[in-house]
Amino acid sequence: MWSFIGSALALVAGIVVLVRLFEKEGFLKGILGLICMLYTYIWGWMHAKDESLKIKNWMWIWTAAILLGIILNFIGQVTSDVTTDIIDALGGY
Amino acid sequence: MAKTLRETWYSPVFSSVLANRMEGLLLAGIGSLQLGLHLLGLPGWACPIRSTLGIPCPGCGLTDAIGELLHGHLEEALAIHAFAPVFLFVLLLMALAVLLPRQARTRFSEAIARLESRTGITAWVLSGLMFYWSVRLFGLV
Repeated sequence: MWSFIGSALALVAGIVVLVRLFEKEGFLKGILGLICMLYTYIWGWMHAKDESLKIKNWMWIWTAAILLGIILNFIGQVTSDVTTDIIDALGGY
Repeated sequence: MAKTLRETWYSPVFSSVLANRMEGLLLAGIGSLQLGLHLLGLPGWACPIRSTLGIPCPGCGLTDAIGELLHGHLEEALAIHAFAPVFLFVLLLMALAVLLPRQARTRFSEAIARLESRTGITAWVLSGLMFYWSVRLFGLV
C-alpha cells in the first residue's frame, strides 16, 4: 500500500518534471529524459532554483518517494528473508 | 519560431551533457552507484513507470543488461536489453569527460557536438530505442 503510494507520487512528480524538461530543453532531451528518468531527476534538481519552472516542490516529493521506496524495498527484503528462515526452521510448509 | 524536424534531429544533445561537468558527474556517479547496488544485490532506483503502472519504460532492463555485460555475458545482456552496449559506452564516455581537465573536456564535447550535428547519431539512437521499446511492449520480440 505505502509502496504503491510512494511509486505513484514518484511517477506524478517525474511526469511533471519530464514535461518541464520537454518544454525547456526540446524534444530530443525530453526523449532522453523519458528513456532515462534518472536524467530527468538530475536535470530537475539542477534547475530546481529556476522559479519559472516551479519544480522545486515536485523534486522534494519525488526524492521523498524514492527514499520511501528504497526503505520499503529493503524492509520487504529483510521481512521476506526472516519469514523464509522461520518457515525453514519450522520444517517448511 | 519552432525548430524544423531536421534542425531537431541534428541538434547536439549528448555533447551538452558532456560539456556540463556537474550534470555529467551526477549522471555518471549515480548511474555507477545504481549499477554497483545492482551487482551487490541491493535495492536501488526503481523506475517510477514500471513500479506504478507495471509497464516497462524504454530504459527498463538496462541496469540488469549492463550488469550481465560486465560479467561478460553478451548474449544474456542483449536478450535483456539490446541497447546495453550502447549505454555502457555512453556511461564510459561520461566518466571520461568528467575526468578530463576543462580544456580537454571542452574539445571533447565539441568533437561530439560536431559528430551529432553531422550524423544525427543521438536522434537515431533515441528513436531506435523508442522503436525497440514499442516492439518489445507489443511482444513482437
